[in-house]
Amino acid sequence: MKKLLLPIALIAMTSVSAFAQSRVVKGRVLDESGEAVLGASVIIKGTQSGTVTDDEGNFTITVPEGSNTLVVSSLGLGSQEVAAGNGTQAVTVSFKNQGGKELQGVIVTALGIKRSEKSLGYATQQVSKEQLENARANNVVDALAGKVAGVRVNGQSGGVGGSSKIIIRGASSFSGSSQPLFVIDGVPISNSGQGGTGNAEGVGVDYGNRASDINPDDIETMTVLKGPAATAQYGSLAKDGAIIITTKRGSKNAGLSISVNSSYRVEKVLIKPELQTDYAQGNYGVYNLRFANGWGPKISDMANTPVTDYLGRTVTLQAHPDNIDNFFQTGSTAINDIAVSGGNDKSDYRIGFGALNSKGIVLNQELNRYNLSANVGHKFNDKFSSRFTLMYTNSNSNGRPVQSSNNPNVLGSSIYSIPITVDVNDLKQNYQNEFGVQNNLTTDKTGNNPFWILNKNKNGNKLNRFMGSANLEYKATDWLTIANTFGFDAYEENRLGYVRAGTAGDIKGSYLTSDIFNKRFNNDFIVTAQKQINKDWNLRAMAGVNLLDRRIDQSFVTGSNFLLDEGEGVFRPGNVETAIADRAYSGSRLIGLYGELSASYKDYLYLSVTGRNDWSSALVYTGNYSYFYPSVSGSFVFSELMNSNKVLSYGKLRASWAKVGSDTDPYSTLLTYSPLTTFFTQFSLPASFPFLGRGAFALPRILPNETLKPQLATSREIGADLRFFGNLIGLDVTYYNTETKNQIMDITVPASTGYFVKQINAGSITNKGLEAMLRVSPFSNNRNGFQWDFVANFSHNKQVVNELDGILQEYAVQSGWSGLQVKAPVGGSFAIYGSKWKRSPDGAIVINKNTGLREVVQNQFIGKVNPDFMLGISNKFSYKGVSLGFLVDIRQGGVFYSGTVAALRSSGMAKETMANRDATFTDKGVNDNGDGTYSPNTTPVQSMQDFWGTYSSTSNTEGNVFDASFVKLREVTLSYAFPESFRPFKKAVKGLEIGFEGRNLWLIKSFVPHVDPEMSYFGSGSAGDGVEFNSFPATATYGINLKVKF
Amino acid sequence: MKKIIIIALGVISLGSCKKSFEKININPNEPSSATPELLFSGAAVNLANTRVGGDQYVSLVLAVQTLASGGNSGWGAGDVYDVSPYSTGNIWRTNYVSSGANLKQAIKFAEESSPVKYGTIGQCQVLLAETMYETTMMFGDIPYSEAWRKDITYPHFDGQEAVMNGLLTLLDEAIGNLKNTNASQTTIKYEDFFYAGDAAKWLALANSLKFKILMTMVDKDPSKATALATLMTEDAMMKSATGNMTFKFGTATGNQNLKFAILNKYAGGTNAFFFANKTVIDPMLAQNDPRIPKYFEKGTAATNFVGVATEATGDFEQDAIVSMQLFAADAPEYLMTYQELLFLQAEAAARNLIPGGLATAEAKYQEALKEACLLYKVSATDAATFASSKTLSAATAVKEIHLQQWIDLMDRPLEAFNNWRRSGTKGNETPTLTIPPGAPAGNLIYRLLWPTDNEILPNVNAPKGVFHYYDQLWFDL
Repeated sequence: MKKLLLPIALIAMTSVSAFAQSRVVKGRVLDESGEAVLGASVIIKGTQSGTVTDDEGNFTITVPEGSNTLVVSSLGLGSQEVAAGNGTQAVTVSFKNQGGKELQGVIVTALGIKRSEKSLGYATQQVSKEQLENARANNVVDALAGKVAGVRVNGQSGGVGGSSKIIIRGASSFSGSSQPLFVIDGVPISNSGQGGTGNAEGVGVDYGNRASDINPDDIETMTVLKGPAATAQYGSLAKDGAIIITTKRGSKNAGLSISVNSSYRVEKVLIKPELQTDYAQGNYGVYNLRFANGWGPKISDMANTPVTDYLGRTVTLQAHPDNIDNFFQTGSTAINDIAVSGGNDKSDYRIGFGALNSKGIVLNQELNRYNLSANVGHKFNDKFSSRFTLMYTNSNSNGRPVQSSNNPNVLGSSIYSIPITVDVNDLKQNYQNEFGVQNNLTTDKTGNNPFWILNKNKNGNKLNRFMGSANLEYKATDWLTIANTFGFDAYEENRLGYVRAGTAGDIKGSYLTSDIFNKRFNNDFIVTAQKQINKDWNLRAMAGVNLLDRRIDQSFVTGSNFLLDEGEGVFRPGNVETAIADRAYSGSRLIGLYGELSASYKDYLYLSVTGRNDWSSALVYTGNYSYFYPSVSGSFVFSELMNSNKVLSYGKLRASWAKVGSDTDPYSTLLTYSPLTTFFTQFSLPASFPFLGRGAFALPRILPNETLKPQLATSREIGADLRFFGNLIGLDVTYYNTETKNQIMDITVPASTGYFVKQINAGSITNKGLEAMLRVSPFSNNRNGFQWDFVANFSHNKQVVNELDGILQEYAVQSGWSGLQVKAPVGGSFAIYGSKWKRSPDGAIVINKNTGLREVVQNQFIGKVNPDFMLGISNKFSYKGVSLGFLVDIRQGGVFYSGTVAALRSSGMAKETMANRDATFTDKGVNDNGDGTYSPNTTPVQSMQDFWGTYSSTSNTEGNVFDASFVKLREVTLSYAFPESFRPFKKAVKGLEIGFEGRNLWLIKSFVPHVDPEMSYFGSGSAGDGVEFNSFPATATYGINLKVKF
Repeated sequence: MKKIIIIALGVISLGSCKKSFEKININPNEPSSATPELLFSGAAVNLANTRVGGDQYVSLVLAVQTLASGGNSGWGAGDVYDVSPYSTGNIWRTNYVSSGANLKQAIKFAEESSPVKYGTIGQCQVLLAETMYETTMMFGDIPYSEAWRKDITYPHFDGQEAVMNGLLTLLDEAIGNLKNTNASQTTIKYEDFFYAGDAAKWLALANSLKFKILMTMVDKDPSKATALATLMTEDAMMKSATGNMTFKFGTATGNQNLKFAILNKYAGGTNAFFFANKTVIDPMLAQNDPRIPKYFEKGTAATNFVGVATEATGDFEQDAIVSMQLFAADAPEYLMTYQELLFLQAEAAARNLIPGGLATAEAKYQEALKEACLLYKVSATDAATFASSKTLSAATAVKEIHLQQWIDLMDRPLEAFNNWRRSGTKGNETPTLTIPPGAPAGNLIYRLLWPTDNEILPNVNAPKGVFHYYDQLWFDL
């Protein structure tokens, strides 16, 4: 392979100098603070030949006889001349100025290549370790919220280990997720979401997204690559952007350093529903134990009328307003990380260990995650170096909450329907009787006591994951580097969910185990040639070959009706009346050949052209399995051409154009038959093959497409990076337009075709948008004094569905309940559709003359899912080691459907349902006279139970849809770094910092009652959004943090 | 030169890469072919289970009022005519995808095999006809001539008349195939849940099903009477209960009748939900029907069988519930019975659609009643006594037959619904039903609405407009 690629690199190079009687000089370029300067040009004085520094500031140059001086220059640092020496000693060039991250910025780009920010023709944004270490998020994805323009993060639920969905620049896909690629140290890893790869997963259980296995403390930087131009090298995998993670490593030439970072946090429910406290359970004002709701009599009217409670005791009704507070406990999370690092001139070394122990806000909910990581680099000699990284994650969780419906374990609805007259603490003590039989909350035994669910029925997983990379790099000459990075990511996840016998809705109990083995190998072989052609021109050529092999093997067992269900329970096939086993497998391989040619002129003009050809196994039977896609990007640092300017200190324009092709899921292009193990039944009853000894096969439900083509996204992007008054103000603006064509999508076809779904190439979605980042640091020249850093991240994305298949006018992205759908209409963007109030021609709500209740019309547009804009504002103040930061997250626009609100209102539990119960209530609106005329409604509703039962019925979508806008205080951090003089044990302790941190502290403004508008039911694997259904509440966290460095 | 070498190397390596890709992209868990037997098996199990499951059985017994909910709204709102679009969607998908498409493919495999498996083709065609007859009886106009075609993404809906005529043609083809000389050797045997590969029984079923479909059409299209008479002359229909199209269930979990599985999952295996509806039990009490203790169990503290009106609150101490004989784990499901055919023949004779007049009608009627009693395990003597006690008079014969159909079909709500709608013009059906309390005022249910998500929205050729559950279908006067 080397032999194959070397000539490519040779051909790519246009100028190859001959060397005679020369000496090799090595050196390193540093700025004032000792930080390496990347991309500084090193020219042999009086000649046109030279080189540039690498990402560690190192350079190697062959100096011909007679030349003794090197000219070293870098943007923002100026230029200086140094003696070349005789080659026996390394040359160190130190600049007086400090470049600062902003001017000198080094960005980790695709394939882990570090590039100077000024040379990039596309927008990127980097999150530093400081931003991750303070106010640490359990899930690394959450840490991006509000910090990067154009990035939207949605947590699915507040349960420990819940998944988070991340959307960069709007969803590009009709079906499936639009999740970015996660790359750690050059290796793409798996971030599979809810349901993973399986088809027999427990309904509504959130098992998290796998990127959450990463320990945020191991991360040095996270770069968000937003558009196709940035991710061109990753091709199809990164069609929705990429998150490039570089892990921490030890410093070279540094002694032993031990750092400890410990946090302890408590978690509380962020938004609690407001309940009414005046009415007991019942029906139309009459006390009735059959209903868990708030439609019974007024409690104060029952003072002299004792009733029977759920345990058969005679009691006087009494409200328990603190029920919700008493139900939820204070969750806690301890995060402890310790890292040992160091290095000499040849090697660097870091080992990190992290432990996260989290207890949820309800009983028996826990997550324990342990991470071990190692990052070791070694330089064997001047030419040959290597790096090895390994991350091991062990995590186990239990008590993961269940959302949605059709599952007896749904907690949300079960908690919020506890009648206010039932004391939660009493319920907790009495969830079962002395024989271990559940004390149901209601007499018809259809509802479960929530404490029975928490104590008996659990969903959990155990995960063991290894990720790592082995990198070898050979510097053949001072301009040619050959590198190979082999990466792997393998995990085994074992899920177990069970419903114990005696649970209403599944009286005999059931369990599900799912064992997932996920493995991927990735190899990149890259040859890079870089040459300073002359004083002005620098050329870089890179060619690489990538191989990615993925395999997912999953086996499931569903057991129904326990034979023996005692103690902790035994969950294996022998202990149930029927056990159904099945397995799923998915394997694919992608081979890519890619190359990049880039040129820079005089440190201010940069141009880069890339090309990649992929061969995908998933498309091999279509004849379209090879596809090529190019990109061009350029940047122009125009301020270099201007005279020294006090106002504008730096100005860069950038532009890019890129195409990205992508493939489909394995096995989806050939027709195959499935051996059946189960068949569908309403109410999820046990139903299995063989049936009376007879097996069966069936056609697939997805009609395969034998002529499928790869999908293609074309993106154009322009942007500017401007800095004023030195470095006081920075403004970065990007406009982009991405069109995804030939979209591979699963369209729901009429079932009368014999299929549920058909995979087609169709449609086009355009995402256009504006991203802006404003940074103001008014005191940045005041080096040791007061500092204030203000950063605002703004983004606006407009999504338009241009075309589906040419015939269809709308496409159901996701179906919810009772008519609610997330649809993509031609000419519009993803939106919620459902039933809407019927309105007269002049917009008045039509009310039924007989009942006084609102009438509805089905299948109407309700509102678009995506926000108009998002704005993240962060402020950081620091003075003499004290630092205070806070981040406010703003989202404007879009709609949100809340199933929880629907349940709270229709069951008479919500506070607002108290109004008018004793009065006559006539809804405002008109009656349809049937002759085209309307008259004002005068019919009162028969009861408020009927009113709310209609208004907030899950099938009346509009009644449960709200403006999704919000303002949230996302993060607050306060830290104090002890100066050396105050540090105890000065000799040993090299750094000491104490901090207070808080996340999701305050929902400052929201239009959704009772729940957090950020909840999402559809997991990270779905294109649907904007819907919540019996979600587990989100939490606010408060904690302290201690960082010690030895 | 270098370039040529590179290209050559590239071509060689990619050639081998394609081979390995082809291997990788074969799903190890799913073969590229199947047998008609295995496809038929899946189709039959899906169809039969949908008939007894939560979507079709529960929605229909409550909406059609053959059983009473006792006021429990836990089983959806079919009882108040708000049949969930998910339930109709599930029925629709079973009939078109799980059953229909796989039968079509099984027929294709049987046609392609050498020698052609005529017996298999015939079996699949009859089951497909039954499937689509059920579908059109619930939904009316449905895709038929353009359904299951790879080249048609948006099938047109055929009018119900065209669908039924299409089914008659399909059954004629099936009869031809089942009469083929190799039919007996080439039927599906082990996976044939209904007749274990007995071609003669399939042939009788095909003719009986034709009779049933013609009886459905004859109100609207009186010319079908000729075909009915021809079928009588040909005398190739079911001749005894051994010809019943019966789907058996097992006692093992996963193979149980879903009616039992529902009770087992939600009530530990007892009937805690379904009461005797007055519409059925009252006429049975009036005729001292020996099937009463087979159909029902008395209230725990009651001395008599007492029915519950639709939507009235049931009381387990006083009111009769549906018996565990009907709700047993292995209670079979009848897709078509001999007594059902006899009742139809009796009706045809009483209406002079076929020759024989009242005498034939009464003979068929008594025979039907006897078979009906026997099927539900009434003793032979009691059955005979009861049947012979029931005579017909010219004035009330048709109405009487319809009432007995209603009683016979209590546990087969789709067939009960079909006969009830046939039993008289709108508002004059037997028995007379009233609108359930809680249902919208105005009308009884006359059809199920097409499923929105699985057909109406994704099909650009689907009927447009506003449709109601009280709209009558083509066959219904």
